[in-house]
Amino acid sequence: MATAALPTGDDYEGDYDFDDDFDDNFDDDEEDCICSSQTIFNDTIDYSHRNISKLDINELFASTKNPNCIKNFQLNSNMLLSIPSEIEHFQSLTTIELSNNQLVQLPSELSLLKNLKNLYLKNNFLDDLALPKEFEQLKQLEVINLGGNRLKQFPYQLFQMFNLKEIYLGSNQITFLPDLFHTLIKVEVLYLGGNQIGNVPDSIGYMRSLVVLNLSGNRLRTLPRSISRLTRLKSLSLHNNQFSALPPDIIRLDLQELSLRNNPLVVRFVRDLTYDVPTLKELTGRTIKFHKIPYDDRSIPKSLVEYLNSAKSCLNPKCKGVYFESYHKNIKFVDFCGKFYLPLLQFLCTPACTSAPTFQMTSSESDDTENIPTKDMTNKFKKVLLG
Amino acid sequence: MTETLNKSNEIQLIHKKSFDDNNNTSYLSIQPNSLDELIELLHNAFSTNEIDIDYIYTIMNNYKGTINEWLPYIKFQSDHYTRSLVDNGNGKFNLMILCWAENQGSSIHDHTNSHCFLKCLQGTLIETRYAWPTFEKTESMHIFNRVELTEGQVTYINDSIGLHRIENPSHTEKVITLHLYIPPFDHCNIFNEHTSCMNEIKMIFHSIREQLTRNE
Repeated sequence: MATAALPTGDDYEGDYDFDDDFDDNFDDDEEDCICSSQTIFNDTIDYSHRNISKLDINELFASTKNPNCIKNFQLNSNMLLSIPSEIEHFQSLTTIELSNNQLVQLPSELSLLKNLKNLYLKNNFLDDLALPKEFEQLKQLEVINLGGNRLKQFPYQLFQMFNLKEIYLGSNQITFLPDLFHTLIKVEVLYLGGNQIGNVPDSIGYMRSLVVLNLSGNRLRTLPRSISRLTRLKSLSLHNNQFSALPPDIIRLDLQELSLRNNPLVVRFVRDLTYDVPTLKELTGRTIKFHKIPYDDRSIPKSLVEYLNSAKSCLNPKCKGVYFESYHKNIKFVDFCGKFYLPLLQFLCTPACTSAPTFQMTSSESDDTENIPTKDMTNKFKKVLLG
Repeated sequence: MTETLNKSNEIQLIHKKSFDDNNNTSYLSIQPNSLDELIELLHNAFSTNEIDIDYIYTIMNNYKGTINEWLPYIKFQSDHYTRSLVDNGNGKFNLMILCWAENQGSSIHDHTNSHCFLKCLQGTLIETRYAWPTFEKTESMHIFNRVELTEGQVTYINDSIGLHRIENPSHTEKVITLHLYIPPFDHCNIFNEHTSCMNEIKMIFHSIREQLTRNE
């Protein structure tokens, strides 16, 4: 069986003419790939752990008869500062492993790799400007790992990559998440641990495929209520943050794992200290909703119709009240799986609503105001890692 | 020092002058060159009911190993660290490998009257040690030590020393650890850092001697 011999320097110049369109020469169907007749079995080029600081594109082309045979580039753990733009000629690439290098820039030609599914860029020196705008054209990308870089922003290009399944952005310097997560409907794993994020936007609730959400090691104090819409979420990591209480919506999730250690969780019942007196507009709105007074955009301005439609129900099930901007924050302790009392944050229309039994997830009456979840609910939380 | 495993598994410390003075393990090697050799040395060290804790510490420390040896026990899960039993020590000890994906950590836990040796095989982890709560009132637990364990390093703990939490501090790297428990235990107590509240839990293995266990 002939093995693929590396062409000498004299040979290759005749083989590769970069001006040729490779696609004209070979069938796109990989079964007709010419490499099978040249007995190249391996579809991987492995240059990992070689201490190389520059990738010699000539050597790269020389190591294979046909760049279109190569599906996998292992280039991790070197000292690469950049990669050559000629990488675009390896059109069959599905995986590029460039972790643990010294990359400060990436060529826009990477975006021309239409088969690229997995891009690993962990532990480099990439900042917000290092990712080319053209990256958003990588619509078939499924996994991207940008952990351990110098990103200060969530890369906007990712919101255009509609086939993304896993996003790893751990250990960067991201402070802000834009409210654009509604496009990431296929993402199953979102790792944002070890940044400086102060707030999670509402649109996170649109990520209906999310199974694993890691927000650990940030500056979070609260979560948006939309988190309760993540019906497939199984693992939620909130440890090492600034949570003093949690939104009660968390109970609606079907979590198997919840980590909360190292948060300044409130341990004693705390009465909210401030209660902003509602505006006249708020009070009027509440009255209209409570008494079910009909309204439409012929009787009142459209903006007021929208305002009235934005009313949120008081969490006290015995209260039919609603609130708009002015709500009373109450911390109620909920028994989680019979193990610990977790402080959950409730939004109620007035402080008076706290004296009534707290919100109930099922229709069963409970005398014990502290004990909220039913057995069915507690079984859903199989493992809770607390404190 | 040696100690005797008795039926009630209470910790009994017998002080000795030095560990190679007329003890059972003086004839044994202190340099295990493979995981299998480490297991063999452990079985030999446990051939009587007297265990030389210093010897155990030494061989755990000296064991160097390669990733190929640990491959059958390596499994990373996105929601929780995994525990894979390597050897059940004929009931006298349990040797296991734990795999910690990015930033995974344990609860604060005790060791059910057993000795615990922990060796870091790959990566860096943080061990935080807590004093036993007084249980007189609800208060947060007191940390008395916090160390970084790098590759190769071994730490030892038992209930008389205190409680601990183990964490992989990295958001980009995974950690692999080797644990030795003498005698084995399948349940322990976990503690809430804020309230000192204690609860008993049962511990499970992801795999036992390379056979995957049924998921609980």
